[in-house]
Amino acid sequence: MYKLFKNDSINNFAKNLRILTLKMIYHGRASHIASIFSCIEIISVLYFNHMNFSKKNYQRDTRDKFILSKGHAGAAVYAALALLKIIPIKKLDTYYKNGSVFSGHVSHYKVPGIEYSTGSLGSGIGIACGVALASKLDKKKSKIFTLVGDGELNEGSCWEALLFANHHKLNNLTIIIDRNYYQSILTTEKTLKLNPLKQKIKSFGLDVFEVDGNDTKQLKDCLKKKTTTTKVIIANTIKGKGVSFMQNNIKWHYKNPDREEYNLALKELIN
Amino acid sequence: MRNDLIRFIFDKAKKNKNIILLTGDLGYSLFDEFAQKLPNQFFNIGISEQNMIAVATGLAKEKKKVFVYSIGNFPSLRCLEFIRNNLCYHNLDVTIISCGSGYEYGQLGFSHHATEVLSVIRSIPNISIFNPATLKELKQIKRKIFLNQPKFLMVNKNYIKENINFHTFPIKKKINGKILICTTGSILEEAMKASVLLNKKNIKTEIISFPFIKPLIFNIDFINSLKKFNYIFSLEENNISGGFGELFLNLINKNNLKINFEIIGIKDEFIKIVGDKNYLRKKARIDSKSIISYIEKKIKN
Repeated sequence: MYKLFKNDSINNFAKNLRILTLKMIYHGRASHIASIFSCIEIISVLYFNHMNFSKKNYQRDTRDKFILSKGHAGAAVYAALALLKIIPIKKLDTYYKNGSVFSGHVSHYKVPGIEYSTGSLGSGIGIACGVALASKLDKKKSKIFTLVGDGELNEGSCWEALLFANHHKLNNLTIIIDRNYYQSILTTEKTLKLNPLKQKIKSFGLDVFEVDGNDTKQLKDCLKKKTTTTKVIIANTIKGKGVSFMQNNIKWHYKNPDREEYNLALKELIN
Repeated sequence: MRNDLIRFIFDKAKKNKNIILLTGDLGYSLFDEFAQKLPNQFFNIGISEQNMIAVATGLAKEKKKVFVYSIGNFPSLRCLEFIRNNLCYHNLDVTIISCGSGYEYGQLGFSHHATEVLSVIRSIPNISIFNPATLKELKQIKRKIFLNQPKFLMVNKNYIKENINFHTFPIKKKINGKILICTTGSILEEAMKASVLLNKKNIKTEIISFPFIKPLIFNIDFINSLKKFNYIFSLEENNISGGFGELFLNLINKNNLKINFEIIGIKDEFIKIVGDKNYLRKKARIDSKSIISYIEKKIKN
């Protein structure tokens, strides 16, 4: 069932993530596939490439830590942990199913490698700030990463946390914004205007960068940059990226693919 | 009470650098020494209760022992979901100190009446709730606030003076009498006032104060001792819905006790006029005179 590409490059890792999450979403009759696909490259670069996080060290205190604030993309993180062999790939079959520990929104309960459970939007940046502050107080080398949806930035708690991150100059923290321009019903700009997002965040005092969030090289390079305060990466992505009929189509925020759509999508991802 | 608690945490923090105290920009002058002597263990998060709980979550996940300070509804209702999802689901060592229970900040208006906090927090799994009234009760709680789990600690600026004898749960000796008032937190003082007056009228009244609300484990001896009373009243400075009295009612129902029981608490409505704690307790009919009239009415029937 799990015929995947060889996990020998970042691009193959990303391809495998899309295939695995498509299968999980289809078989689990789950939603949020487009939100998952938009951040596949971000998750891939973090887990495959950038973070000090592997099967060998994921329980060590010195590891880097990732908090998925947009918890509805949990399937991508579960699948990444499976590709890193931290959880058995077979277990992904239980995603979204009765009796499973793999809930739609990411949960740490009995899932090794998941740092935090989220699902209600707007909590990840603040939690990441707490972890980053503790790391600084203890002079740990761990770096902290959190991935936030752009729609999620409607939540005031995100902005409370940005104030805090800047005030305490948490330069061990990187906040990545999955800027796919869609939220639950409409585009972000038609719902609650976010732009000019870069200037807004910059005005908080943080170091802001903008990249193509579906380009692994741009992400990698940006993650390597050193900053004096918290780094914020606006990762411009395409919602539903990777499957032509899902791209920039809001219905795939919710819709579960039927058999025909699943086969079509899989075909696109494999080729 | 509040100052003693912060002093206690400060003394412990001097010896343990993993103890961190956060405030949501409240407690003027309360933390001066703490902030000055332990600047890496004290953070004023600002007026942002959600972020305060989120930061506490992250710190506690990194093995810090976190205390969070604010008043009444702010570190509870304002950031309730953060408490539920972040502190309680992850079962983290964070103690929320909520100063000013019930009508303690009465004159500040309805926003500062913390009259549903107990009901609401009680319904979340994993969190312990402490509601001390006296110096002795705070001492008992000090032993428990280092448990590695979420805790909600309701305190007030002042202790309630122990004017008469009363029992603190869990009780060791056997008690009996005609009337029993079970109470929690600083409303104890109204129970004591009522008891003095009732005793003068030869209506013997016993009081049990409950500084620990959750978990609350009733042993069989306690349940049996309840049977010896003709009338039991619960008293709280909290909305009756989901509050201390209903917790007690569950106990009675579960154990099939044939007891004449009545809940005295705040009715399901807001008080919109201005008043200090004593005035508002009268308005809400949870002051000593109201307690006496409830009891006398019940006995007559």
